[in-house]
Amino acid sequence: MTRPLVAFSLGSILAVLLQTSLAGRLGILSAPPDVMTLLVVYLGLHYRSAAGAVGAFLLGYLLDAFSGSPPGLYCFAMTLVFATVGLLAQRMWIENPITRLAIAGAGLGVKSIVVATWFALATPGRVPWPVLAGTLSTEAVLALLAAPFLYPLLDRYLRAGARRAARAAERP
Amino acid sequence: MSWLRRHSEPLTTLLLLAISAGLLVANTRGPRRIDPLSFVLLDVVSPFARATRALSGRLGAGWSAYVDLIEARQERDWLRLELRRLERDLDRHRSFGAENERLRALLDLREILPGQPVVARITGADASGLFRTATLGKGSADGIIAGMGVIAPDGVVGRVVASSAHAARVLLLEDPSTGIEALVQRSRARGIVEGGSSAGCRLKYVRRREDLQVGDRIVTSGRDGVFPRGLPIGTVTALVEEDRGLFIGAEIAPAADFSHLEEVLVVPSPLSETGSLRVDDTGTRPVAPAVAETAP
Repeated sequence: MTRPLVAFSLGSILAVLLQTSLAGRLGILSAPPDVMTLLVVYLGLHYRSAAGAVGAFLLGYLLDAFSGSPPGLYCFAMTLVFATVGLLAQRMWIENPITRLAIAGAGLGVKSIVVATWFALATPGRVPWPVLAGTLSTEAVLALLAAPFLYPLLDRYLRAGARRAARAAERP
Repeated sequence: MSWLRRHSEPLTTLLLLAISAGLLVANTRGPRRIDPLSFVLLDVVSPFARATRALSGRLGAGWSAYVDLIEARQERDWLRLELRRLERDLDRHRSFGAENERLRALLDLREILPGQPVVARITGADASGLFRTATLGKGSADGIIAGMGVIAPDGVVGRVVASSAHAARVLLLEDPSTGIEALVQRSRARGIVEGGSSAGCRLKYVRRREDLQVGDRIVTSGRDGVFPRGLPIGTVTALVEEDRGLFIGAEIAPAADFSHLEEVLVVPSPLSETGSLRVDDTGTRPVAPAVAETAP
């Protein structure tokens, strides 16, 4: 259980780096795809545990560290996304790709609501709503487009890791 | 203890939410940034960040170069199109300029010719190649009838042999069946210019005792009632001994360039003997006739 989480964290660091550097350098899109929320959704779907919650919190903290947001904003948002996805996953068949995509959409929605709410509360009357809405929706749409490619990759990698662990456990 | 273990996930989640909310509220309200772990994260991540930055820098540079290349290619294509358009415009302007010069020369000539010469455009050449004729874009509706002389600013072109309402056929000076009475400008010796020679046309029937030399300019005599006197026909390029002992002849290079004719003047006929032209000092360009010469 610990090994996949470490690998997941390293993958997350890579994701945030790619998100903060590559997408910006290429300059094609107004906002990068929200890969971090996709990862938190994946955690919520497949690692519903205290460790999973800590992972989601750390992913949010990572985002806070590498963005201009006040520390705590993405921690809160990602932990809430994790909790929401966990609740939804208890009631849905999560192996279906369409269901996973729908849950990812819900997670992205929760994150967007948290961020928009913070803007509304912290900077009343000065919120650039069109810019905010454009950025959040672009991030979400791009993430939903990336999800069908990212989730199967994660599935394959983590299943391979699980098989290796099982083989190691069988050895005398 | 087992209750705590069973509910570890929601409890942890709630605890983390509370920590996050506290952190967020403290950072939003307070003047100081409370961020206990970010420096650790930054230190951990910075080596990866540098590597990613270098990688993304190269990728970004490559991408920029690619975008620049596409833009340069688009710009090159646009510039090529623009160059072609400008070349076409330039050609058209040059063509307009040349046409303007030709028409100006024709107008100058028209002003000094007696009567009302008609300006006509050459619209076609001889269809067979056996004869040397050209088609004019004007005909009897414009006053052009058979027998009229056709001239260009450089010299004599030929004679109208047939005309319809809106077109006319001109027998060029080069055609073997052409015959124009001519004068040697220097010695005033008379002869007949015919077409069909290798040089373009030939001066025939000049008396042997007359003075005729290579380089002499040949002009119209004005006695045939077709062309005014003094229009340049051509220049003697070689003397030819004719079989009949009484006469000598000469090869003549025509003054008019038949291959580049575009507009001509059709001279009304018949002209009287007084319809004459004076030529300039070079003997190649007509000048306004003197009053005494044009008076009846």
